[in-house]
Amino acid sequence: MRMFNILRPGDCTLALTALIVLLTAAGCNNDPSTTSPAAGKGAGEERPAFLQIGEFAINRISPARTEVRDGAGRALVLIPREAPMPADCAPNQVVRVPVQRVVAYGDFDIATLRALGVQETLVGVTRSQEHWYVPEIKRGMEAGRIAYLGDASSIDFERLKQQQPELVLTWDPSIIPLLDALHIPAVVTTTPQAMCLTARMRFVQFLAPFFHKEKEADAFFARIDASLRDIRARTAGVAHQPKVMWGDVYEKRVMVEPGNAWVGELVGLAQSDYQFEDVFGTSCIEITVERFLYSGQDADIFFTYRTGSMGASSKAALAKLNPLIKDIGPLQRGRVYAPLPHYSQSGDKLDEILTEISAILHPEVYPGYQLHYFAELPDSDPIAAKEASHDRI
Amino acid sequence: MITSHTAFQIAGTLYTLALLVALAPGKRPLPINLPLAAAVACNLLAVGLRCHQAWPMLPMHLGPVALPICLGLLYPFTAGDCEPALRRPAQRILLAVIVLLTALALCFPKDFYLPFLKSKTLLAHGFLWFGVVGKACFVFCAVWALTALLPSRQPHAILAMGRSHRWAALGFALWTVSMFSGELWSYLGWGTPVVWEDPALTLTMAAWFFYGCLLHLHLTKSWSQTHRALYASLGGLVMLALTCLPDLGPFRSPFGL
Amino acid sequence: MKPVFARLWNRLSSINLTVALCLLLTMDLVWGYFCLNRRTALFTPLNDMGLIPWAQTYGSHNLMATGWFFLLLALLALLAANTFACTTSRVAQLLRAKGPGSRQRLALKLAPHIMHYGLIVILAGYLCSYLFTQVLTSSTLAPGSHLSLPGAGGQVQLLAVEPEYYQGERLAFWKNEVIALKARLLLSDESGQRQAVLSCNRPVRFQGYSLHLIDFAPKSLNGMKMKTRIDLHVRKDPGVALYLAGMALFSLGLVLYLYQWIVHREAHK
Repeated sequence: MRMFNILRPGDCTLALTALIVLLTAAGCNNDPSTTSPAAGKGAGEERPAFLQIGEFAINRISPARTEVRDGAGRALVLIPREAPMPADCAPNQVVRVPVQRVVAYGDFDIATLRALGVQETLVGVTRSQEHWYVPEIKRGMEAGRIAYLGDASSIDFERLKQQQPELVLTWDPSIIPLLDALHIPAVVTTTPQAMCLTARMRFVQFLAPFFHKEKEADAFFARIDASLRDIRARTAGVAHQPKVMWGDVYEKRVMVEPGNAWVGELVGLAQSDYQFEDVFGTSCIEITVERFLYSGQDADIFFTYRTGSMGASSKAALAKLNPLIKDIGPLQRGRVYAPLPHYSQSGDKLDEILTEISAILHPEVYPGYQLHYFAELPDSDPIAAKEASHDRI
Repeated sequence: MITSHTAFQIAGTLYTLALLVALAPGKRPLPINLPLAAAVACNLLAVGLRCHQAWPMLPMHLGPVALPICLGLLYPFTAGDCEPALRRPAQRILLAVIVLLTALALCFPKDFYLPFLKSKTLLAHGFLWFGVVGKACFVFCAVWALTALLPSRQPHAILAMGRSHRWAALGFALWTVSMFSGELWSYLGWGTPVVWEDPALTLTMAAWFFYGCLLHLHLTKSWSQTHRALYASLGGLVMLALTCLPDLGPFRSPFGL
Repeated sequence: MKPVFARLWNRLSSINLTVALCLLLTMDLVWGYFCLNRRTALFTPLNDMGLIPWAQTYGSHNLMATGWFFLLLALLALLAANTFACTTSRVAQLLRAKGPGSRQRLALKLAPHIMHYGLIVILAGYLCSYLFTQVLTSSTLAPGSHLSLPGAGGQVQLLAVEPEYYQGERLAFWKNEVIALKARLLLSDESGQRQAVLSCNRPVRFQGYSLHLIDFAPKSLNGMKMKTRIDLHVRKDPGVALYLAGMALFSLGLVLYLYQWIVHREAHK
């Protein structure tokens, strides 16, 4: 311990400063959104025993036992279908895999099932047939294989029981007490913090062990990774970095996608400036009107949450709905985009969605690109424009 | 109707005026009480408006806006029974720190998060306010230590360091109370005294160990006075910057609305 | 053996070691800020998993981001040992040198050491908490549903949720939002039943478990229709008593120290 007796204060100060700089650099360099080829395992490569995907996690204890943590921090145990019930966990925590009958609430969850190629396991949804744009779901509902269980806030539990699901993927934990009574395990697929880009891409790897579709999940991840590489390569030398906002105003309440959300990370990756990059928290986080308006002053592109049927038919319509935002940059001189109705149900086409967002940000490097998932809002509604021109005549 | 941001802009202008008055050359110092008092009043209004807009919940990231008030209110303590040779440089350094903090808070505000329901408890408010006053004491500690380092103040360095030590001890006590309030709040609200969701807690702990170390150095005199002064002054300013970091946001023009 | 122990004890009780450890802890915690910033998903499970399971999973698989935490544990362990050795030596000296002076004077002299022992108790409480706490995360209750506590713990039933909505104009963003929530619980065990009220910062204790309200729905009169529910964290934490006692002890030492400081100042005036 003699070294401590000769600890000189000047040396300490220098060492302290140098160490802080080095360690800070190490902490800052560990970019969670970086993807790499090694991240998506190919065939024959050993899978990691533990995989963290945002707030989800998979822990492979043995070939006969996998422990998972869902978005609400609940622990579940996956065991083979014929295996005996483990003694150390409650029955509602145990999921027998591969799962053969699933009820799903969320559009993204259902899209992920499609990405894994297990859409035939879907037996119940919370959206009626006329609101579906996915052909397999429509056909399944027509054939009676997939049941409409009612709106998420008023599920028909008798109907749910009839469908005999082995697993429920939900964003609404209020159903869990009833599912526990029915001995049906549930996975909460929403998270307290917004899903980052890596988690969005890898969510398929979280659901894969439930269906023994790890290879398909890896292939999906590799496909998305390839599209990200393409985006990086195409946008590498762009001259202009547009300023982007993603959110909306409802009466006096402002909600935006935070910087840690996948959209915020994608905008940064595509050589653009996300106006809420510093905001951290849940998806649709509420912030002050002043901040939204300040960030909107010099923004170029605005992605709204609303679809056309919710009032986002034109810039004029949006400004009429929310007079507060009528002076923001995208409404005055920039571009505004609204998601098309099938956007939320297209999570299995995540690579195309990412590419489309990049094409919106940098049309110059995607010549001739046709939008499939978003619509650019015109300055005014076509009918209103026509009436205006009639009036002028 | 004046907004919180406007009131803070006015406060910043008045703090700068007070600093300029304090820096004015001359044997007889000009009175700075008036601009300083006006600045503190405007600052109080800014903080009061933010608290009013959030009450009974806690306004988020209020620290950098509230800290100049505490420094301004404690400013008279640089004058009381103090050698004149020490008083002036200490006051000038203190005012410079106040102006710098105000500029940082104006240029890098983080006032866009809405308050959350779990902050509706006295423990949350205690965590904030004991922390702010404790941080103000740490600033005073750094200011007196810097004064002790000035070559022209060497005959009075021991006095300055004595004051520095007292402010460090008081700041440490208040910082500890703030941490305990935060831990009790965390236990009641989340079931554990340390919730690993807010990175700022590590900087709070870092400051606690930093000043704990400083107190041990003072009491045991294991380092020379000059080295202790360097630790308290430069190290203290670095810790101040780090503890303010979680409450600062992206750059925003201070002249905007 | 004895000289070896004595040498080790002397080195462990060195004030220079304290200074070095405090400096290293400061640096490590600053590093920790940058590792924890926007990476809370790595560390949030530490709140409920327990230290060993967390270290085996999240901790060991993300060492670039979690390395600072393992270093923190090592430094805190060393600090606890150093504090214990140093403080015990000095307390022994004080007690041996105790003259015919009053007990009050002795208590005031012991003030810093009371704080040191308080710190050790706090650290021990945290360690106990992270090693031995049982947690049921996100246990959801809907009105009428019940939750059985592990072992012979008893049952918790949600009777009713009583939200209070903000109706004023001052908090514009809070209009028609829940500003206060009371959840009425029915606690049943072998000895009978009783009701309890759970709210945001007011947990309920039952059968050695503490029930904490983490989330609830609906949060608003307007907006998306959500079914009524509350999400609880149910915890059995043996470390609570320790770290609360440690905080109390530290605070006592702090008060005595400040009192002594003020009395000393008055005496010297």
